[in-house]
Amino acid sequence: MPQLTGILKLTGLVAGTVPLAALAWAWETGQLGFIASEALIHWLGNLGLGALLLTLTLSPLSRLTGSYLPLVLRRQAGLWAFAYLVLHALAWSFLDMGGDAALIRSELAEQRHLQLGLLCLLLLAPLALTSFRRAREWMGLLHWLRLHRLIYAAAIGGVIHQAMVQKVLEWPTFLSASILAALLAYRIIGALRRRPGSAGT
Amino acid sequence: MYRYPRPPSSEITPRHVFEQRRSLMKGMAAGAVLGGIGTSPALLARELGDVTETGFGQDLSPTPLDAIRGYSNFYEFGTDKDDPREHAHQLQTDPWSVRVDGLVDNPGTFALEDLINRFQLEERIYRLRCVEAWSMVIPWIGFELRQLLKAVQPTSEARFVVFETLHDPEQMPGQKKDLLDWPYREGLRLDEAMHPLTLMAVGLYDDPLPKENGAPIRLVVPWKYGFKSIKSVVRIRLQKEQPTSSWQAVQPEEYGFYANVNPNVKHPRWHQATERRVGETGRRRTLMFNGYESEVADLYKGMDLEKHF
Repeated sequence: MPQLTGILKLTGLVAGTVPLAALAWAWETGQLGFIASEALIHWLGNLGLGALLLTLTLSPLSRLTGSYLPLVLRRQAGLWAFAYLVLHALAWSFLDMGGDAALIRSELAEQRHLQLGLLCLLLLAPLALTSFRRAREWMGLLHWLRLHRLIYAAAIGGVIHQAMVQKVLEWPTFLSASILAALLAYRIIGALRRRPGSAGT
Repeated sequence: MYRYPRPPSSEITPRHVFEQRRSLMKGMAAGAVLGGIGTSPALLARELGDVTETGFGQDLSPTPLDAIRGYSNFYEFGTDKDDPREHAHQLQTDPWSVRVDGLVDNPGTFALEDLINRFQLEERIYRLRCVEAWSMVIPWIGFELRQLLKAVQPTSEARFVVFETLHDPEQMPGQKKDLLDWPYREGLRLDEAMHPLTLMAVGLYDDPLPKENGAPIRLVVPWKYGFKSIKSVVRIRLQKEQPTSSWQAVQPEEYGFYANVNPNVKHPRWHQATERRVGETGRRRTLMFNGYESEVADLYKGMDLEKHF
C-alpha cells in the first residue's frame, strides 16, 4: 500500500512541524511566560523525549497489531526526536547561557543532569547519521541493529535527565518513566521468551 | 472595625503611576491647599495606614507587578509559576491572625489589623533571589520582625524562630499533594530574625499583598534564597533547637538551613553565580548575600558557608 505509506509519512511530517511552529509563534507573541527561554527549553526537551519514546513504541506496536504501518514512521520519529533535542541543547546554550562558552563549560563541568543530557544527545548523533538506508546497507543489518540499540540507553538517560531537572517529581516524569518501563518490560519479556529452553517458547 | 481590604484589580496601581507617586502626592497636596479639593494623600497610602518612605533600594528598578504576581513559587497552589495567580483566590485572608508562642514571655495571638496598626509600616525595595537562579526587585510594605519579637519578649533560652504557613487543603489545594510535609515550615536563627532587614511584609506596590504572593502576611529575608521567605504565615514559634525547614526535609543535600544567597556555593541543580532578572534579557552576576553583604556578613563571621549552605 504505497499510498498509505505516503500519507503516513506526510502525517508524520506535519505532526513534527506543528509543535515547532506553535512554539515559534508562542515565542514571537510572548505567550511563553515571564522567562520565555526557560519555557522554550523545557518544551523542546519534553517534546524531544516524547518523540524518542514514541520511536520506541512503534515496533512493539507493529508486533502487537500485526501491521507494518507503525514501522513506516520509525525513522522519521527518531529523526524528529533528534531534531528537537538538538534544538533543546542549542536553546539552552544560546538563550539560557547566552552563548557564553566559558559559562557553558563551567556548567557542564558541575551539573550532573547536564552531563547526562549531553551524553544522551551524543549517543543519538550516530543513530541520526546512520538512519539512511544506504548507511544501513553499508554497515550490514546486524551491526546497524546493534548500534541502534543505543536508543534505549539514550531514552533511559533522557528520562533520568528529565527527573533530575524537576524540583519535585511530577507528571511529565511519571508519564515518561511509565512508558519507558512498559517498553523495557516488553523487550525483556520478549528476549527471555526467545531464549532457547525457556518456558515461554 | 478595621477591615482588611480586597482591592479590585482596577485599583492596583500601574507601575508608571507608582513611580510618580511622590510628585503625585506633592501635586495633590498643592491642589488641596490651593483649591481645597482633590484626593487626600492619606488615601494613596490606603488601608495600610501610614507607610514610612525609606530610602531603601531606591536605586533599584522594581519588577512590574504583573510579573511579581504571575511568576512565583507557592506550591500550596500548584507547582507551575502561574498556578498561584490562577488558584490563590481560594485563600481566605480575612479574618487572619498570627499565633506567636514558644520561648517567649508574652505569647499571644495577634489579629492582622493589630499588627498593621501597632507596628510602623515601611516601604522597602528589596532584591529577591530565588534558588532557581531567577530574581526580581520587589517594593514591599511591611514592618521589621524584630518589633514583633520585642513585643513578645523571647526568653534567654530562645535561639531559633520557626514560621508556619496556613494548613488548609480546602483553601490551598496544593496541600492535597504529597510534595512537601505540610504545612510549609521555615526557620531563622534568632539573630537573623532580629536583623533590621528582616521584614514581615503585608503589602507590595502600595497595596495589600496579593494572595498569590503570600497574603496577608509573609516573611521577607532579602539576603536568603526566596524559599526562606515563607508566605501566608499563621504561626511563629521560638525555640531552643535548630528547626528543619520544609525543603531541607525533602532534599537536605540541595536546601540548607541557612540558604544564604552565595554565588560561590554551588548547587547541584542551578547555577548560582549568575541569575536571570525577570523582565531582563541575559544574566546578571549574583551578589554575595544578594547585595546585602555589608549589612549581614557579620552574622556569619567565622562560619564555613560551604558547609552551612
